[in-house]
Amino acid sequence: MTPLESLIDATLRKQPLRRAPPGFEARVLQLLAQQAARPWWLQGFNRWPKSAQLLFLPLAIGCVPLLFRAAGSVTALLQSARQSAPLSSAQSAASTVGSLGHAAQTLGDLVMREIPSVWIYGGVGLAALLYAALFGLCAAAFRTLVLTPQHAQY
Amino acid sequence: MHLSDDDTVQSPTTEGDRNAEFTKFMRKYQDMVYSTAARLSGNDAQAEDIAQEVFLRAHGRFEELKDNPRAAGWLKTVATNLTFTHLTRYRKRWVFFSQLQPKDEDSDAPEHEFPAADSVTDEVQDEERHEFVEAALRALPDHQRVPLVLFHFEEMPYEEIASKLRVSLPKVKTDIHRARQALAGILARRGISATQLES
Repeated sequence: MTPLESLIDATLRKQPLRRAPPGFEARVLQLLAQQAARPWWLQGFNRWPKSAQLLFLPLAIGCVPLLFRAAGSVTALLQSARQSAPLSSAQSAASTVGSLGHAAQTLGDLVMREIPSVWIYGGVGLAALLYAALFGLCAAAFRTLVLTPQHAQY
Repeated sequence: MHLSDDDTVQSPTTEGDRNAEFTKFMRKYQDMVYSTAARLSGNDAQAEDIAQEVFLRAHGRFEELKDNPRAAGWLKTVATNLTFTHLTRYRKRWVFFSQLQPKDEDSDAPEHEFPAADSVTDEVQDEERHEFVEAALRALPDHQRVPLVLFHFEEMPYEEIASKLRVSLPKVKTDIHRARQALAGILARRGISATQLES
């Protein structure tokens, strides 16, 4: 150790701890109370009730095929209604939505039949990766722009 | 529904006890956490935000931390990491500025001479001297203060500092050496002698 190093080392080691600002403890407790008062769905996923966490994933995954099936059912319903009675404007709009669903279903069938499964799984993997990247970007933007406005002066 | 509804429902006494325990825990460690953040960041307001965040996180893991002898280490690590995040986010990366330093600040510069004790007319009291040292630390640029604090306060070896800051080992040594010189220079300019520092 050089004399300078040992002097600075001794000086810094003798420094007492800095005292936390007055009211620090109260502010932390207040923040904790505010956090606890927020409804669970506004808190982070890891703070959701276990039951909600367990239900969320199957629900989110299960929604996709359900939507396809619902679209197919609506199309079938509207086609049978069209044959039996003239369409109202609401029915016409619903028919358009149903047609879109039907087209999506047809496209899905075509994709599954014509494209090799490796490509499909690869595509799904890529989509998941892109989704995760987008999610990360949005989370970073949210943390930077929304959660930390008090630090903007730095 | 709140979090507590999902698991065991806690009576007000239990919740109150937990809060009291957490308050006690906070009182025990708040100065340490605040000091770590303040010395690393060089900014008291920022240090307060960081210390708050540390205790918010600690509250989420309080069951693990409350009787854990490693709680202090955990709190220090979180405070250090959060301070790095703040330094990176709200200022330019200290590495970048460090590399822009002029060459005349090289490590072979002569070591600073402190004034002799008898040349200082007014006796600097302990508390005042401590405040001078803290102010001198705050005056150092990030790229010097951060490795200096990690080395002398957190007792982190050079290798670990280099790895944490993602810079080379020689660079860490150079930055710490320059920081010591700069710190000594600031203290000497304020009339604090080496003898006073050693006392």
